This record gives sequence, C-alpha cells and structure tokens, in this order.
Amino acid sequence: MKEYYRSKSSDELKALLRADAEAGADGALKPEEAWEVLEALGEKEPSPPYTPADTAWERFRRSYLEPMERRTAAETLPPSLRRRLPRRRPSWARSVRRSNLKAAAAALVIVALISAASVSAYAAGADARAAAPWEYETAESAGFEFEYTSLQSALYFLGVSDLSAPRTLPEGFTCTGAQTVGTRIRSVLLLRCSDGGAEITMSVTVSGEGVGSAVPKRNGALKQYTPDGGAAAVYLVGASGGTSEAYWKDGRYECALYGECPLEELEKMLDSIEKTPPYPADSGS
Amino acid sequence: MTTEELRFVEALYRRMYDRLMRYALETLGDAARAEDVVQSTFELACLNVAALTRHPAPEGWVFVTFRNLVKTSAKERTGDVMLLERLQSRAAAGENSHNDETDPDVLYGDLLDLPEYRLLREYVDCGMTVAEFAETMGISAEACKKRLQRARNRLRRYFRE
Repeated sequence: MKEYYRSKSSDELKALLRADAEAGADGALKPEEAWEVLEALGEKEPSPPYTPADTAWERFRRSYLEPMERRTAAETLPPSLRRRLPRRRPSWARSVRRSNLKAAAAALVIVALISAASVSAYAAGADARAAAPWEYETAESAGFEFEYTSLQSALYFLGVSDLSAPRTLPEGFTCTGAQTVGTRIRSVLLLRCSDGGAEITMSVTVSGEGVGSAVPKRNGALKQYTPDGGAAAVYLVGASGGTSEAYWKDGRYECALYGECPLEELEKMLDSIEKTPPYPADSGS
Repeated sequence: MTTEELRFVEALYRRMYDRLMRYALETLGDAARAEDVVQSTFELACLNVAALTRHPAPEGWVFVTFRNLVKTSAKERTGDVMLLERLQSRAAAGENSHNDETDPDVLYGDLLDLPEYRLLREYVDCGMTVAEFAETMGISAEACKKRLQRARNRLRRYFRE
C-alpha cells in the first residue's frame, strides 16, 4: 500500500485524509494505513508550521497533567478527611446571609434566656464551622527515583525521620510515589503503594489545634486493633466493600492507611510498625 | 499516575505528535485547533493510562480516539461559527430575547453584549489553543472548556423553539 500512496498526488492524499476524518468506523483507514498516507504526504510536501513537540509537551504538562494530578490527589485523601468535605449548600440556604442567621440566633437566645455559657458555646461552634474549610488549594508532586519496598524508607527519603511507619508491604507491592495535598489549613502527605493494579495509600498529617483530627473516633465501622507485639499506638481499623482503612496517632502525627486490600493485609503492615522510629529524630530533616 | 505511567505517556506523545499534528492540520486546517485535539487525545490517554499500558496496540488506541476528537472538533468549530452568525443576524433584526427570558438586562440590552457571546466570539477570533486562551483568562484549560461549553449551551437557547 505504501507504493500505492506514493503514486498519488499530495492533493489526492489530503483528500484521502479529509475523507478519513469524516468516515464512520467501517470506512476509516487503519492506523497503519493512515501513517503510510502521512508518510507519503510528508515526502511530497513539507508540513505547515506548528508548535514543536517539546513546547507542546511542556504545555500539556502545565495545562492538562498538573491540574489532573491535583484533582486526582484530592480525590485520594484518606476516608476520614474526605468525609469532612462540605457539601454545597442548597440555593435557598446560600441566599440566607450568615450574619442574619447569627442575629436571629442571638434574638432567640435572649428570648429564651439562655445562659451566657451556652451563648459562648454557640459562638465557638460557629467559629469551628467557619474554620473547617477542607478545600483543596494546592498540590505538589514528588515522584520517587526508586521504588521503595518499605514505607519507612520512603518516609526517611522525604525527610520524615521521627515517625514509625510500616516496614513491610503486601506481596508484590512497592512504594511508587508521594504527593502533598494542601488544604487551606494543613497539608497531607500521601505515600502511594501499588502492585500494578490495586493501590494502598498511607497519609500523614501533623495534628494541630482547631484543625480537627484526621483520626476519626471509634464507631460501629471502626474497631480497635492491637498488634501482636503490643506497639505503643492504638489503631482503629475497618473494612467495607473491598477497601480497608486504619488510623492511628504517633506523637504529633496523625496517620491513615487505606486501600483496596483485605483488612488482614493492613493489619500485617501495622504489625511491622516499630515502637520507636528507627532513625534519630534530628537526622534527615 | 505513577512515574512509570508518565514516562509511558510522554514516550507515546513524542513518538506520535508529528504524525497526529499533520493529520489534524490537513483535516481541520487550523494549527491551534489541531494542537487542542492532540492535547485532548493525550488527556484521555492519561485518564485511561492503566488500560492503555496493557493495551496490545496503544498507538492504535490513541489514533482512533484522536480521529473521533478530530470529527468532534470540526463539528464544534462549524457550530460555533454558525451560532455566532445567527446571533448577529438576530441582533441586527432587533430580536434580543428568547421566549421565556426573564433577565431584564437581556430583555432590554444588546444580545451581542452578553458575556457568553463575547467569550465565544473572542475564542473563535483569537486563533489560540484552549490552553493559551485559558492562560489569558487566568484559569485552567479544563475550566476554560467548561466555560465555553456553558456559553454555547446558553446561546443555543435563543434558537430553541
């Protein structure tokens, strides 16, 4: 076919491409045929000017890939933080100003002669609601040069030396990359592990006053787990619909481990966490 | 997307870019639109990267996706130009609102002053790619595409019977 296309004029080849672009699936050229047409056309006539591949790739990275990575990262926060995302208020609620609500609440408080203590408690509640803006603002990517076989090594590589992390991964899994997802009030470090299909993520945040906890309270879906070795941390673990999650606090850190794996696999990972960090607290930072 | 997947997409992009651009230039006749189609094709490739890496013929997958997007882009371009022309002729005839219009600014204003009209007109006339156009507005390419689509939908209301 290559010779056949070479025998055609450039106008005929262009007409062929235009017809191909308009054709249905049945009448369209196969990819190899289209390449042959393009090759024959390239031999007959230089291409009109267009953006070079390097510039186009850079633009693709900046305009398409990076926003996509940010969206993906925000969607993969630990379940405990995802639950905090505020729902958009209905239109009638959006039209009501917060100040009006406060005034109405204050009037009710006076009429009902509620004590000053309860008024301040309400105000504190309003502040807390205002200070729970789990909105994603920025995200940075830090790809790994190597694939780590332990989350502990990956953490050390990132300069977090005073936190104990799982030292083993389920069979076939490696730690493939890290990302920082920024919210308005704090950042969440995400360490990703994959076996090529399923993914397990460990998230690390620093706890702070007034920012809420990334570790949820014990409830019907989460039970307490104590590793065989009796590690210092208390773990809350749960599983539903093919995914498992685990939460714990370690000093100033709040950690979560979650992904598409049986709960037993996560518990094995938790068993491998040592009581004290294996590195001196001041190294690597 | 993992580092390995990113490398895979980049290699595919660089290997196919010139051929896809030439095809799009010959069929669409516009360098900015041609680049948009190539970028959108690889955006879809990234969204389906897990399947693409396992695909027996990833270049074939990319090409078929690309050809579908070329078809869509050609239709969209013709649609935009026709929409703007019809709005202009309608405004020239002094018909500024559609049947259920309630916005007084639209009822008593000029159809060609609508922000949606200005946005689409600017995009059609500027000869820029979506990414470049988005940069001039200080928004992401994705947001720009959505805004343009909303503008098209809003303007099409004027021709709904």
